[in-house]
Amino acid sequence: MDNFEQELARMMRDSQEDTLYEDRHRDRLHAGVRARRRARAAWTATGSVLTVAGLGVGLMVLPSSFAQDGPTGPQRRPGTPAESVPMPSTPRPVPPATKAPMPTCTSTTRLVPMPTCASTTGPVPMPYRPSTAEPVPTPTQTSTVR
Amino acid sequence: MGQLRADEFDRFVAARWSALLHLARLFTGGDRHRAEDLLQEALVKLWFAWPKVAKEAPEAYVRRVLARAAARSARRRWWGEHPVDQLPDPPEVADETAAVDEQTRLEAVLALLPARQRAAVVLRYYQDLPERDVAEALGCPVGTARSLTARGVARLRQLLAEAEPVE
Repeated sequence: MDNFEQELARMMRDSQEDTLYEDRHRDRLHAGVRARRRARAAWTATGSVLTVAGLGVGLMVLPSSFAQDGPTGPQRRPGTPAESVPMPSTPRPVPPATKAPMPTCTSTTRLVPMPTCASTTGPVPMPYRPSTAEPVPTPTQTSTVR
Repeated sequence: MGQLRADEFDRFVAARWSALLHLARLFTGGDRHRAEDLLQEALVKLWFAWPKVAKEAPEAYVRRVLARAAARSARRRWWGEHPVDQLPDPPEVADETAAVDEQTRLEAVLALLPARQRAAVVLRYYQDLPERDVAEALGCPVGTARSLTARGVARLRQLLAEAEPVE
């Protein structure tokens, strides 16, 4: 530290005045603390409100966006009756080779019994038909065996 | 708990008010009103940080807040000045003592420095901080603090040589 720097430090220190911490300083400081506290509380409340609003909007928007990402229209499933699915107004030409298409089924290879269509490939007994192989008495039928 | 905190805080502020106000005044180049505003702002921040810094170094915290605020506020365009019809009392030079004259001269040349250079010089020579602490208080690398201090001192040397009182 050269002479000029020492002189500079001395000038800075010697120029200090004794200033009392007066009541007006204290009052102003406390008022500043109160104002800052109110501002902080307001910011916190605003942040909470915005967070809750954002969460609410997100919860409302997300399910609808998921729903839009799914199937865009009703698709016809195998085994579903034709009258339950809206079809285009122009009828499709039926190939002449198929003589006996099932009116309500699109697939004849599935072995799963559907309650509304009769399958010709599998002899699975339907529950509403009386079967002759297993004469199990049902409560609604009268048995002839005594 | 809250009353104890308030009492401790008030005792600290009352004990260090004069030194902190002088530091703020040097940071602002002698602007007394802006120095008071700056110190109030720093002390309000200290109040909220008091539980964390009270046991360690509250004065270093205030010094850091003051230095950064002084350097930052110099970039603001509006410093809260209002136009008035009549000018305030102009500085009187005829009846000043030598000490007041020296203080006025020092503040006048400090006011001509850029804010960051002024803050670095004040921290280095008035607070007698090492370069590392000056850099930490200003929030800049040590090399930047060293450069700011050197350029500030060089400028002050030139300004004070030009402003030597004529006998």
